Amino acid sequence: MNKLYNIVIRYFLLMLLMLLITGVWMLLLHTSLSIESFTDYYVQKSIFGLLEVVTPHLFAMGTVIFILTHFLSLKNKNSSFESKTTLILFSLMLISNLSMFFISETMAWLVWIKIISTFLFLIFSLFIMWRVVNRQY
Amino acid sequence: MQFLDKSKELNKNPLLKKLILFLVLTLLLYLGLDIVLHQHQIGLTLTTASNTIIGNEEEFLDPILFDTLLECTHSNILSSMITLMLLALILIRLNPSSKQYLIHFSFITAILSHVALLLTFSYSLFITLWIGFFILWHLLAFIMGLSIMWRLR
Repeated sequence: MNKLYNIVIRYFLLMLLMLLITGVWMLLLHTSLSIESFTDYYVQKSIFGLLEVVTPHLFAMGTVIFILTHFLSLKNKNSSFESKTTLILFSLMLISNLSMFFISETMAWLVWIKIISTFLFLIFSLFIMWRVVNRQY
Repeated sequence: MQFLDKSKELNKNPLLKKLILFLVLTLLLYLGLDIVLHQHQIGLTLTTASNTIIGNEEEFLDPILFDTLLECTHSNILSSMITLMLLALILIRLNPSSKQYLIHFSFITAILSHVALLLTFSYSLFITLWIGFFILWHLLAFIMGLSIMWRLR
């Protein structure tokens, strides 16, 4: 494969890393690093307020995950491990986005689903990015 | 990513050629409108950008909230990375021996513009740098788009 493709892929990964960092930064700014404020942030939002957050994220995260994971398919031989990781990444993205609709005062424990799925999403994204960087095309 | 598929010769595939042409045209339109939007939202001159970001006591203008600036940067990173990646991949597909510096400069200036925008909140010096890098990456992306259209003619 042309060396230039590798350069573009690496720049894409760098910008994706910046996207993840600013995303986490915003989440931490809104929730002030405490479970109570994290729960309050979602409980106080109306259904349309949640939609304003979820709708662009579903589009953007779906597209970015597709672009990121399709770099793994540029080589013909894919391990089943990579296929499973891709499936897990899409599932975590959906759980992370949709769980916020169910967080309420009576079901505040659901905030843990949101936190854990978001954290796992970040870990798996970084893992796939590392696989893409170390891949020989 | 059909653009990467070397088996499809563009000259033998007019549909793919048209698809790429319209995609690039749309991206060029996006780049132009993005400049207009940022001129309206933040301002692309030193005075207007300073008034928006730092505020102006004489004109009773409040400074921008850091949340707003971060949200703006977050969405700008996404759009710039997809735009530049598409343009760079198409350019390499059409001309495998493309000059590397155009691709390097466009990505680096885009990355620096996002970093500079965040730093404007703490240091007003970065406002000038942000304006410079912002215009520069749009200009370089525009050159890549025009170069693609020149090769598709």
